[in-house]
This record gives sequence, structure tokens and C-alpha cells, in this order.
Amino acid sequence: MSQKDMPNTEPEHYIITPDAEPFLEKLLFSRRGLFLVFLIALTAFLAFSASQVGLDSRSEKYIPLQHQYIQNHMRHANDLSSGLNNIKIVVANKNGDIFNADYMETLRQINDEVFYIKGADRSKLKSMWTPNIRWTEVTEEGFQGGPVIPATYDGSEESINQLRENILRSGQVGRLVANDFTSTMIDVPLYETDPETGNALNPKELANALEEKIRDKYTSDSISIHIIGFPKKMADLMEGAFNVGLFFLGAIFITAILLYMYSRCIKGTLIPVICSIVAVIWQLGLLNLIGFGIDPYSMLVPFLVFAIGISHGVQIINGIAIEAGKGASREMAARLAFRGLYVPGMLALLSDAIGFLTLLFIDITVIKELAIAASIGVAVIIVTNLFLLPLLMSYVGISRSGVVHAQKVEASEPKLWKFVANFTHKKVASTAIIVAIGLAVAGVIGSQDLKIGDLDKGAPELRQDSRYNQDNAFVVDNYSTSSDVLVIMAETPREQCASYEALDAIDRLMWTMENVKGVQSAVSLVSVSKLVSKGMNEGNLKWSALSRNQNILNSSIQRAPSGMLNQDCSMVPVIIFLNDHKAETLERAVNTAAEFAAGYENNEAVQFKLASGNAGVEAATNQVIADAQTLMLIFVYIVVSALCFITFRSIRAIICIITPLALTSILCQALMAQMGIGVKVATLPVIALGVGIGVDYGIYIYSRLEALLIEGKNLHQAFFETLKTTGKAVSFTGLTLAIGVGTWIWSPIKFQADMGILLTFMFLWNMFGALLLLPALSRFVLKPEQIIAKHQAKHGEAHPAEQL
Amino acid sequence: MRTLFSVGAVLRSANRFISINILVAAFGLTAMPSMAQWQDPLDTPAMATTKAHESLLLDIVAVGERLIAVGERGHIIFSDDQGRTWRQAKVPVITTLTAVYFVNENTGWAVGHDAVVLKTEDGGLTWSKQFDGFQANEMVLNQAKKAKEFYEDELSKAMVIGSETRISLAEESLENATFALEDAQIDFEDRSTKPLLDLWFKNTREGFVIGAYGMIFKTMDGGNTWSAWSRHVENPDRFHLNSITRIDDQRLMMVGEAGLMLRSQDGGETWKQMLSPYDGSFFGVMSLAGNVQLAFGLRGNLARSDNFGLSWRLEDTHTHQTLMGATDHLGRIAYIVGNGGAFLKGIDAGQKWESQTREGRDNASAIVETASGDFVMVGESGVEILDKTGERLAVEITSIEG
Repeated sequence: MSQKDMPNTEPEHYIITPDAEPFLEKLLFSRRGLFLVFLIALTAFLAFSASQVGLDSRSEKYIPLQHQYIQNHMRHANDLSSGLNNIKIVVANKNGDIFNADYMETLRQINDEVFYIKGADRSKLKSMWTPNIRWTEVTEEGFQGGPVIPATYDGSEESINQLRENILRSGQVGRLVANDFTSTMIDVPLYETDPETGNALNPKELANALEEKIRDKYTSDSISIHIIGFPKKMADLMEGAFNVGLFFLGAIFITAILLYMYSRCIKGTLIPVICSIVAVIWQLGLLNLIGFGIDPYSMLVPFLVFAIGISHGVQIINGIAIEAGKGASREMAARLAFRGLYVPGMLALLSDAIGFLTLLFIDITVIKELAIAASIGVAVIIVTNLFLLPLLMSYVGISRSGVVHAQKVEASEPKLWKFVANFTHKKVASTAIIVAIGLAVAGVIGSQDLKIGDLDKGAPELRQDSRYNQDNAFVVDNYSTSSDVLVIMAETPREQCASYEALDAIDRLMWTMENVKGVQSAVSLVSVSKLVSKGMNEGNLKWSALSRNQNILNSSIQRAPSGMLNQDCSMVPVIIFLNDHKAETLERAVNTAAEFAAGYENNEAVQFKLASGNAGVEAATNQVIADAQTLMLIFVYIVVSALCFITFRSIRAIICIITPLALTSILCQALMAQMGIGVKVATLPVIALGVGIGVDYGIYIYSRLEALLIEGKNLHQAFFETLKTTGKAVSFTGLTLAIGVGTWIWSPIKFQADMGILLTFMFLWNMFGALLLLPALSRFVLKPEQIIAKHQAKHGEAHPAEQL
Repeated sequence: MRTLFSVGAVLRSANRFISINILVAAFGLTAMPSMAQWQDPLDTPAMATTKAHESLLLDIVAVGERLIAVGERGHIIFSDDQGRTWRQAKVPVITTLTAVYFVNENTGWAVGHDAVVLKTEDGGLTWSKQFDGFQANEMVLNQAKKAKEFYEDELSKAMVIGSETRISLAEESLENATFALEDAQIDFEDRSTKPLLDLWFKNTREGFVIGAYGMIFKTMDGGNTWSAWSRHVENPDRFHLNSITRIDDQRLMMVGEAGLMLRSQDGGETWKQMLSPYDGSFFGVMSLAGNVQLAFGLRGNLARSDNFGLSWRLEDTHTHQTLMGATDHLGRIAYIVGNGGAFLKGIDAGQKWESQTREGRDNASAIVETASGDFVMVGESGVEILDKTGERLAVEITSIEG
């Protein structure tokens, strides 16, 4: 994207053959009316298509579907109660405990209200007020029990006392009743598809219903409501993520102001903005045509496309202004600017697109779709900002003020650029390189604690102070429950899930896991069997063990809750509760489980498959990310190096261009480590985007520098000239891009903010690298005599600008 | 085209790099020592852990200054500082252990599920297996065969004599013996085992282990060899034997399922039923000074006798929680713990009872008094340290490795 060669200079490099270039220009400008009409019609069509683009909230997109863990999970998906289709509503008494008639009455009302919420599976609803919550006791005659709220409950002191006793006997303390008895929970399982309409559960509708009918209605001075659960989280996430769309307006506004300051021409400001918006429309329209929707990640692409479009547009406006200043007509000025810019422009945009496509190596749909969306986005800029924009300008023309401004700039010798040009001096250059090495070393050290995965508690997608995370923290603090669950699937032959050998092996896995740091507890069918064995033996703790008698084992699991084993008794989930979902916690747990599973690899009675539960999915994602991280960096650097090589045919050029990028990558990792941002689905693509876009700065600076060197200027002169034109463009581009993505820092969604921070950092730092480090490296790496000799060998004595 | 080719070459070499990586990873994986398949819990040494003190523990004894507790997964842990810090003993099984008993500071035994018997001769640091459920099955089977033969013989003798009462008695006994043999055969063939629940040793040589379905075995050589002893116990319904205790040199008592109460006046040679005041299960029996015996069990029921079980009377314990384990202070005050946070104090040698509910209301299985006068209690939450009133002491309890 960014640019570029001096507009009135023919490029040294070309895409196909030197003769092919005028052809495109002739074709485009000789029928410019026709092309314009065609492009406008196309825009109208794609605008319609873009208006149809849907918000895509499918959660499986965030999961590495090809990973073995996920495959294992999918195989048993129907048998595992994922815990994902479930909402927990906590009703807390702010002024005391739950043992009073008022609280219980409010709870009853809320319970009734929840009963009628669309999507709630009424038969499995659990709360103090549902009859399935019972107490039991062992007596001489056997088990005795009843509902926790006695049939005779009337709110009297006596029945409240009865309730208190029943709750203690029910084993619900820490589950449905808070450990401190100041709140209780309503557990609301949901239908995945509406049994009446057959539609999939709509998290947004559900969340709205919960907010309106429960939270808003019942929150008072004495009652507070806390709602957690996957659908609620998704609803909050989607709402926040798509609200970021509004930031787009802010980005447009700020960019337009900057653009005006740059061009001092209203037309020269509006046309690039319009063309860049057209690029966004095309991108969204094409996205819809290939059947993609927008998700919280690919939301980023319109921001990028807009910013990249602007930075290309501004070059063309600049070129037109200069040509117009030399007296060219509107059409001629546009045409000359086009001629000078479309080759490096296309090369840069293609290199962006190819750079983005390296993200396809990461086997996570949402990243792949981001890669495709971004590649489409930069590809359409070729048409909208390299073709459409000069066409429009050939009609509109640039204003007088713009022309004057451009001339003034060209003639001036700004102090800033004079200073920057000093980086080509030997002394300054060595200092700059030493500083860069120092930064690189500091960066490598600083990035030592770079972590994989999400590091924050609760729902890491949302900010820690979001309502959802506050509610989640309330539940975690007051109930004996963890929101981080790892599930290992114990597979047995059919009807053999309760064999002694299988259950004993599961028991050992549980204990092995409970001994891993970061594991709170483990639960499985074994827990049920032991509990029932104890119960069947009059509550004698000494019988809390697995029996070798198959009949006893079978009867001990006869009434096991669904979800503890599958339909044909061939799979038992082992549910492991973790303290948190930090990568090291997950890795420790998963590694221990995998090692244990390896010991049973060919066992006939039972085998263990990793992994389900949110922690299992996250562990798989982390593994994919960790594997992809290095691979992706290698590929992205190979691709950009290859593109540089294609363009410049010089290893020395590659060193000058790639080194600043590598420094940025290192510093970016250090920044992530220091800010506690993990490498995750959201931040991994950022690294590729940063490098892919960042390389353009170097390409353009170098390309201009080389041309001037061939002209015979010395390095300092050549770089100063480069700075005045291309350098200015590069710094403008860096700023525009940083503004475009920088607005994301204020996103309510944590990962969007992380993306914003990192991209802003990379865009700015790559800019500095190209302006400061590249000249310093040139001083030591480039050999101007060689460049000239090579040029002469190819083109004879011809001046690069006079070829053709 | 040329450049594209070179890009392709770079990509291919990168691919090669990846596939080498994958090979290395795969090789690394296959080169890992393959772990053993499932091993029987009786052949699997207990896993080293520092969490045993917070997992299920079922019995605890004080041996001199040392406390020794046993529990699930073959856990045996010991403490030399009144229960503050614990170390794990070396145990050759991962079977759940239910009871432990020491005859002196060095020598002790532990019993558990799978009818396992473990012995230590170094004060509880290392344990070895002496007996298990498979041996028990064989012994029970042999004894059942003999019993059946004996009653068949008895019946034919009775027929010869022609005494109606003797015939019907022999017939009934033979029927019971036949059922017992069938059960023993099934257990033997299915390799199904039953838990031992308690034990008592007279000295380093002579002792009894008792357990589920009337299992009782006797050793005369410190546990090297065992003999089935149920034929000497009056327990025709094969009720669980839950607890055994010594009254004096010759007199012993056992209690069990469904109100079963037994006593022996000949050092355990023979056992006779006592008249029980209660139909529910007793889980413990203890002896206090002044020839007082207490039996306690289901739903707060506690029976007291001051005449070696000639008569029993149910005491009012003011609790309905099941009582599981007990200790005494100088033979005069009894302390009993159990399910649902039960904590009982019986003063006047168990004539007057005070009931408390422990914080946390967890289920406890056994309790001992320490040298410092506190109590160390074990149960489903592991070790807890209590004061005289049953309040949990706020001291840190930890496990250290090795």
C-alpha cells in the first residue's frame, strides 16, 4: 500500500513486460466514461450484496476443528452435556441470608418467570423451587427424602427452619446454594433448537429476555441478580464486538482531517475517502457473495481496507497535484499519476494479499476467514483506488490550493527530513544499528514470558470489569464451582463402561489429575458409584470405594445422572475442574492426562481420549496456535522476502527491508508479554498482518532510494530526496493505518482491544523502522556502484526515469 | 516464472523443514517408554502425593508420639507433630484401607478393601502385603466346602439317630452352608472381593481381621498365615462385622450390621451373640474404665452396657447423625464423631451426652486424642484438628514429600 515512487518517474521495475504497461493505461483512459459507469454499476450491485451480509456468531468457527481433541469431542458431542447450553441465574440477598420469607417469595417469582423464558428446558430446570431438588437421608429402613422446600411450606418461621435443615441435608450447598447462604442459583438448561419452531437458539433474544424479565425487573435494594452462561457470554460478546462498527465513523472522520491537512484540497480529500469506502463496500459485498458473514475478528478488515485504500489514494492525489502543477490537464494529470503509480501499487497490494494468505496455515476457521476477507479487501483496492480513483479525478480535477500546496512541499526542504536523512551518515547509522541491536536484545529478553492463550479470569473475551465478568466472579467466589472444565472421554466397549477395570482406571486418572497443580477436583461415574456404594451401606464412609462385584457396580450407577455416561454405556466423561485457563495450567493438565492416556493406548477395557470441555477446547486451540506461531512467522517472512527478491533481485535489498520488520516483530512479542496479552486466535493474525503491511514501507522507500542512487546521487542526497516524497507518504500511511485500527483500543471486547493495540504498535513501529533503520542499514549493506553496474548491464546508459 | 519457481522452491524447502519436524515429533513420541497397561490395585504401589491429608481417610491411631492414618488409594500417612505435618508411607497397594492397629511402636497392621492386610515393622514407614481377597476367597470357599460336608454329615447322623429337632436344625444349617458355598464359589470364580473393616491384635503374633459379610480371619504367626474363623462366630446371616475391641485379656467384643453384637470370653476362640437393643447397624464398639462398653451406629443410636454385654441400654445422644468413630480421655470421657458434623461428648463414662455439630458438617470416620490434648479427626475431608469442644483449630495442616 503505501507509496511510492516519485509520480513523474517511470518505475524501474515492472510486472509482466515493460511494453504491457502503457496498454493498461490506454485501455483504461481511452474509454474512461464506460469504465466509470461500469465501476459505479458494480459498486451499486456490491453495495446491495454488502447490505445482505450477516453477522456470523457460530462458535465452532473459533475452534481448531481438525485438532485431534476437537475430533474426539465431536465424536461424542451428542453424549456430552457441553455445559454450553446452560444459563445460571444467581439471586442474591444483599441484606442478609436466604432464610426469610421475602427472599424465598422473590425467588419463587423469578423461578416462575424463568420457567416461561423461551428456550429453557423446563423439565431440567433446577432451583430451590423445583421439585427435582431433594434431600436424602439413610435410615434403618433405607433411603428417605423429599423436596427441599417442604410441601407444607408457608413462609413461617417453622417452615423456614425446616427449609434450612433440608438444604443442609440436600448436598446443594456450594452448588445451588451459596457457601455463605446469601444467594441461591437457578440452573437453566436450554434447548439447542426450539422444540416448537426448530430454530437454533438465539443467544441475543435469550439474553434480552433475561435482562428485561429477570435482571431489570427484580433488581432492587435487597436483591441483586447475576447471570452467567455461554449463550449470555456470546450475546454480550456479539453486542460489544459489532458495536465497534460505530468506531468506523470515527476512523473516517479523523482520517479525512489528516487527509485534508496533507492535500489542502476538498476534492482531493473526498475522492480518496469515497474510493476507500467503495473498497469497503466491495469487500463486504464480495464477502457476502462467497457466503461469508462478519464475525468479531473480520470486523477488523473494513478498518484495514479503508486505511490501506486511503494511503494508496493519497499517493495518486499527490501525483495528480504535482502533474497539475506542471500544467497538465485534469485528464493528463490523472493519467500520468496512474502511470507512475500503478505498478508499485499493485505489487504492494498483491504482497499484502499474499502475506495475509499465509494465515491460511492456521487451522482455525475464524482466522482463515479473516485471511480471505483481508486478501479480498486489499485486492479490491487495486481496482477502487488505483483505477477508479484516477478515473474520478480525471473528471473532477484537483483544486488550485492543492496544486500550490504540492509544489510548495516539493520545493521545501523540511528540517525533519534533513534530520532523518542523517541516518545515512556512518556515525549516526552505527548508533542507530547499535540501538536497534540493543532493542532486539531487550525485546528477546522481554518476550521470554510471552504466553500462549488467554490469560485473564472468567470470560477473557470480555473486559475484566464487564458485567458478565463481574457476575462470573460473584459465582466463582460464592459457589464451589469452576468455569474452567477439562473433560477426558473414557471409551469402553459397548455396555462395558461400568466394568471394574474401566472404572478403576478412571479412578486412577481422576486422582492423577487431582494431583496436578491447578486442578481443583475431578468428577465422573466413579464418584457416583462410590457415593452410591456408601449410601447403600448405610452411609458408612468405609464403603466409599469401587466394588469388584459387577452386580454391585451396575446397581451403583443405575441412577447416575445423565451426562455421567452415554446411551450405550461405552463412554464415560471424566470432568476435571481447573483453577483457571492459563496456558500453563491447561498444558500441565493436558500433558498429564495425555501421558496417562498413553499408558492405556491399546487397552481393551478402556481408553482415554482428550479432550472436551471449555478447557479442552482451549488447550487444543493453544496447541494449534503454538504450532502455527513459528510456522506462520517463517512463512510470512519467506513470502515477503520472496516478493522483495522478485522486485529487487538483490539480497542486500532484502536485508535492508526485512531487518526493520524483524525488529518490530520481536518488539511486538515483548510488548505482548509485558502487557499480558497472550498469543491467541485474536493476536496471531495481527503478527502476519503487521509484517505483510509493514513490508510495503520498506519496499517503497527502497525502490525510490535505488532509483535515485542509479541516477548517481550519493546515499545521503538520495535518501533526502526519497524522504521528501516517499518518506512523507510512508509517514502519512503509518498514521492513517494506526488511526484506523487504533480506535479498536476502546472496544468493549478485550481481544479487539488487544488487536488494536498490537496493530497500532506495529504500523507505527514499522514506519519508524523504514524511515530510520533502513537508511542506517543501507549505509553498511548497500553498494551503490554495484547497483549502478547491474542497472547498466541490463539497460545500458539509460537513466531509469527516461526509459520507455 | 523463474521467480515463481524460486518461491516454490523456498516453500518446498520449508515444507521439508516441517515434515522433518513432524518426523522428529513422531519419533520422539514412539521413543517414549511405553507405560504398563492396567495393573491390579493390589499390585500397584500407592502414588506419591502431598494431598493424602486432604482426601478420604478412614482410620487413625496414636502410636507413642506418632499418628498414623489410613484411607483411600492405599494412603498411609504419619505425623510426628500432633497432626500438623504428614509424610506418606511406602505402600504396595492402591486399595482403599479402612482400619489400622498397632501392637507396639514398630509393629502394626492395616486392612482394607479387597480384604487386603498390610504389615509394618518399622513404625509405619514401609508396609508389605500379607493377605488379600483372592486368598480370602479361596479360604472362604474351602471352609464353606468343609462346613457343608460337616452339616451333611451332621444331617445323616441326625437321621440315623432319628431326632426330629436335630434333623431340622441340621437341615437349616445345611441350607445356610449351601448358600454360603454358592456365594463363595461365585466370588471365587468372579474374582470378586469384599472389604475388611476392622482388626485387633493381641500381640505381634496373634490377631483377627474382620469385615463384610461376616468375614473373619485369625493369624497366630504375625499375619504370615491366616485361617478362616467364621465357623467360630455366631453370625448365621453373615452380617457385616464392623468393629472389634478388647475388653480385657480374655474378653473381646464385635458389633456389626443390623444390630449384631458379639462377644468372646476365650480370647476370640468362640463368639456368641448378645441381646441387642437395636435393629440398626452398629459401626463401632469401645470399652471405658469401670467395665463399661459402648456400641454406636446408625442415626445417633448408642447402646451402653456395664456388665460385659449381659444387658444393653440405648442412651439419648441428642443427635440423629450416624456415629462412626470414637476415642476416650483416660477411660472416663468418650468422644464420638460421625456423619453430618456429629461430635459427641459422653461424660460419666457415657451416661450423659452432649452433642455438637462441627463446622463444615462433613462426615468423619475416626478420631484420636493427641499428646497435647487436642483431637485429630479423619474423614471425607482428610485430617482435621479439633479442640476439646469439637471446634476446628485454625492450624495449617500440610504434607511433605518423602
